[in-house]
Amino acid sequence: MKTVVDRQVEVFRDRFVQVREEISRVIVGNEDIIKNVMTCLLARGHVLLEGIPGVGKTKLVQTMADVMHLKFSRIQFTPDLMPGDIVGTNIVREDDAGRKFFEFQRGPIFANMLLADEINRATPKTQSALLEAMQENSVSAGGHTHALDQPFFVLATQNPIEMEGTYPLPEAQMDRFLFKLKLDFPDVEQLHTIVDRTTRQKEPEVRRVLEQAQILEMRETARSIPVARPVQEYAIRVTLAAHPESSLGHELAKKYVRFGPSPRGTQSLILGAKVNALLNDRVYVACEDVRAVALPALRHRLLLNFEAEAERIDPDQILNRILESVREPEE
Amino acid sequence: MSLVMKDREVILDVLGRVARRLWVNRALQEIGFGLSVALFSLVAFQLVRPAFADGGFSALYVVAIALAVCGCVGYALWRVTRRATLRHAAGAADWSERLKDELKTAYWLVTRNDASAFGELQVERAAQTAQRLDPRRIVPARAPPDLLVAGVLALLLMGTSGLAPRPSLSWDAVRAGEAESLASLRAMLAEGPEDERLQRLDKALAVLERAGASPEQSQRAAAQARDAVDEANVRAVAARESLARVAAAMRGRTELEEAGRALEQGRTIEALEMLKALASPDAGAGPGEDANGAAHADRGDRDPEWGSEEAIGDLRHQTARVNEDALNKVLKSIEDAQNALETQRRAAEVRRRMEDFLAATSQRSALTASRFGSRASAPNPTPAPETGNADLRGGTMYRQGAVARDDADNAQEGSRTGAASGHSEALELEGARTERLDAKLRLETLRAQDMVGDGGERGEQTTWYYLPTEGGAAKTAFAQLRGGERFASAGTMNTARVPPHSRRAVRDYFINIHESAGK
Repeated sequence: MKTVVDRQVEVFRDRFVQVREEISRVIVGNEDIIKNVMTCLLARGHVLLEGIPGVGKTKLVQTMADVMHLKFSRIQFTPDLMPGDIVGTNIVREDDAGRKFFEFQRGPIFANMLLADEINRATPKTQSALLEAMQENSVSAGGHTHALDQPFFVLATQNPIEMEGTYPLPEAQMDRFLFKLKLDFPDVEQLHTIVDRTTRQKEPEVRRVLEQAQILEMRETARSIPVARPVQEYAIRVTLAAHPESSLGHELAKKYVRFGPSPRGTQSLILGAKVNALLNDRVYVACEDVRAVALPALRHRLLLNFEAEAERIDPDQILNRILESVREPEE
Repeated sequence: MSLVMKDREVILDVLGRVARRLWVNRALQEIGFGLSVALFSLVAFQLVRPAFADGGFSALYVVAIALAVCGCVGYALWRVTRRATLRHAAGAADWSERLKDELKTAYWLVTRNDASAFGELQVERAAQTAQRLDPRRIVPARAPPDLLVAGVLALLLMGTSGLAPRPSLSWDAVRAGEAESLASLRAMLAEGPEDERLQRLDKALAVLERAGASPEQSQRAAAQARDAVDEANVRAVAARESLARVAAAMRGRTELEEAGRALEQGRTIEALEMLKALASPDAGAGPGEDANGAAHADRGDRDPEWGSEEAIGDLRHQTARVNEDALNKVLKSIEDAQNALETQRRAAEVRRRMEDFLAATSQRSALTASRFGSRASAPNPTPAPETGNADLRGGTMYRQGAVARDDADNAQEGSRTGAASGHSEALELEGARTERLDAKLRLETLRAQDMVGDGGERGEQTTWYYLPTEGGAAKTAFAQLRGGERFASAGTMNTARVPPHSRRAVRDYFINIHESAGK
C-alpha cells in the first residue's frame, strides 16, 4: 500500500514537471504562473489570468492545451457575445422523413480546456453563462442539463488597463475562479529569448505529455492529501484575517477591505496547498503550502473600499501583511 | 505489533520525551518568574520602607503587595501544574527542527487513527524523522532568564536587608519607647499648674514607668490615673459652670460688662486682663498674688464653683461700684477655673496619649488601652440603668450620643436607654437638654462633709460617690464652651454627624456635664 502511494506521489510530481518543462519551451519565464495554472487544473479549479496585452496570456493557454491531450476551445469575448454563443442553442433539424425536431447544438463551452479571452468585454449576462459551468460542471439549455466532460478547465483572461467598454466581473463570478494570476512584463533577458524564439522561421513545438485520464488521476491524488487540523486552522485564520468585521481581522483589512474572502477562499487555500505539498514531495499539507498559494487564491476575493482605491492599495499588499502577522499554530 | 503501530509508538515516545523536557523548562521558567516577582516586591519594600519609617506606611499597601506577590506565585504554580501536551511537543519539535508541520500532522493523524493510505505514509515518514530527533537538542536544558533574575534579586534582597533599618522586634526596645513616652508625659504634667489630680496622675505614671512594676501594680496605677482624669474632668465641668455664672453676674455690672462678655465668649485670658486693669494699682503684683497664704495653698483643692459663689455673691450685693476685694475674688475664681480647665486639658492629653501608646504595645503589656480607659474597668461594666453604666462595647457612641427629644420622652427614656439593643432615638447632639440615663445617674463629686452637712474643712480627701440625680438642662451651651477648649474641636456640633476624632470629646462632655444644683 505504501509503495503504491509513494509511487503515486512520484508519478504526480514527474508528470507535473514534464508539463512545466514542455510549456517552458514556448513560454519564456513565468514559471510561477505555469505552476499555478497547473495547480488550478489539478485542484479542479479555474484560473483568471490578468495582464497587459502581449505578455503571453493566450499563448500560455494554447500551449497548455497542446501539451495536454485535451479538447480546447477559445471564445473571444466581445460586447455583442450572447450566452447562446457560449453554451449552445437548440436548432431545428429535419430527419429523413421530413419531420422537424430540435437538436441541441453544443457551444464552445463543451471542451476540456476553455480559453475565455478578455472575459470582461462581454456583458454580465454573457459572463454569467459561465457560472453554472464553472461551479456545477454542467450546462442547462432548452430544459435539459448537459454534463461537461472532465476535466473542465476555464482559463479566462482580462486586461487591467483598458477599462473603457468593459464589464468588470461581478464578485459572484470572481469567486468561482480558484486562482487569479498576474502576468508581469518580461525583463530584458526574457524579451531576448522571446524575440529569438518567435521571429525565426520555425517556432518551437511542444509534445503532448499528459493524457486526459492522467489528469483525472492526478486530481484524485491531490485530493487524497490529509490536512491536519492545526494547518487547517491556520488557513482559516488567514482567511478571517482578511475580513474587516471579524475579530481576527487584520488592521489593514479593517481599514481597506469592504468584503473579505468567502468560504471558497479557504477551500481554494487548502486545495492549492495540497497540490503544492505534493510538488514538494510531501504527503501532508504544511502551513508553508498555505502561504505559497495565499496570494493567487485570495487576491481576487478581497473587495477593497474607496479609501483603498484612492490610496492605490493593492490586495497583495494587504495579504502579505496578513501572512506576516498570522502566526502558525504552536500545537 | 504492526508497522503502523510501531510508527505511532515511536512518534508518541519521542513526543513524550520532548513534552517532559518542555514541562521541566516551563516549570523552571514559571518558578523563576514567581520568585522574581516576589523577590522584586520584597526588595522594593525594603527600599521604600525607610521613607515611611515614621509610621506613614499604610498596612493597606503591605496587604496589596502581599496579595500581588501571592497572586503571581499562585499563577506561576498553576502554570507549573499544567503539563506540556504532546501536541505542544510536536509543535516545538517542528519549530526547532524546521520540519514544516510534519510531526504536528503525524500526531494529529495518530490521534485520529487516520487509516488512509496517505495518512499512514505520513505517519511512517514522521516516525523515521522522529527517530532521528534528539529531544535534548529540541528542548535544551538551560536556566531560564527569570531564574537568573530571581538570583540577582535574591542577592539584592540580602544586600538591602543589611542596609535598611530593621524594625526592632525586641521587647526591650518597646519597653524603652514606652518609658520614653511616659517620661515625656510626666514632663508635660510637671509644666502644668499645681494640682492634686495632676500629682496623682504623675504618681501613677511613675509606677507605670518603673521597669519592675508587676501587671497588678500597673493596673492599679492605671486605675488611679483614670480616677484622676475623671476627677479633673468633673472639676473642669464645674469650672465652666462657675465661669458662666461669673460672666452672667459680671454682665449685670456696667463696669464689668465687657469683661463679662469676653468671659462668656470663652476669651478668659482677655477677661482676666480687663479685670486686672480694673483692679487697684496698690493691689500688688496681681490679684492672684494678693490673696492670703491660705487661699493660695488651697488653690489646688478648692472647687472653683465654691469660690465663684462667693465672688458672685459679692458682685450681686454691691450696689455701687465694685470694690477691690470683690474684684479680687472674681479674679481669683476665674483663675481657679482656668487652672481647672488647664488641668483637665493636660489630663485628657495624658489619657489620649496613653491610650494611643498602649494600643501599640498591648500585645505585650498587661496594661492595655482598654484597661486604661474607663469602659472595661468601670465598677460594674454591665450596662444597666441601676448601675448608671450605659457604655456598650461597639455601641458606646450611639448610646451616649442619644438625647431625648422633649419632656414627653422621659417616661420611655429610662427603659429604652437601658436596653442593650439600643433602640432609643439618636437625635442631633445638643448641649442644652440631656435626658439620657447616664446624665441622670452621672458621676457627681461631692465632698464628704457636704454629704453629712458638717461644713468640713476644704481640702480634705475627696470621696467619690455615684448618686442618682435629677436630670436637667445645662446652663452653658456647649457651643459657648467649645471656643476655649481644645478637646471639643471645632465643627463637631455643626452637623449631626460626629467626626471620629471628636467622638471622645463629645462623649466626655455628655458624661461629665454638670448642672447646677438649682436646676
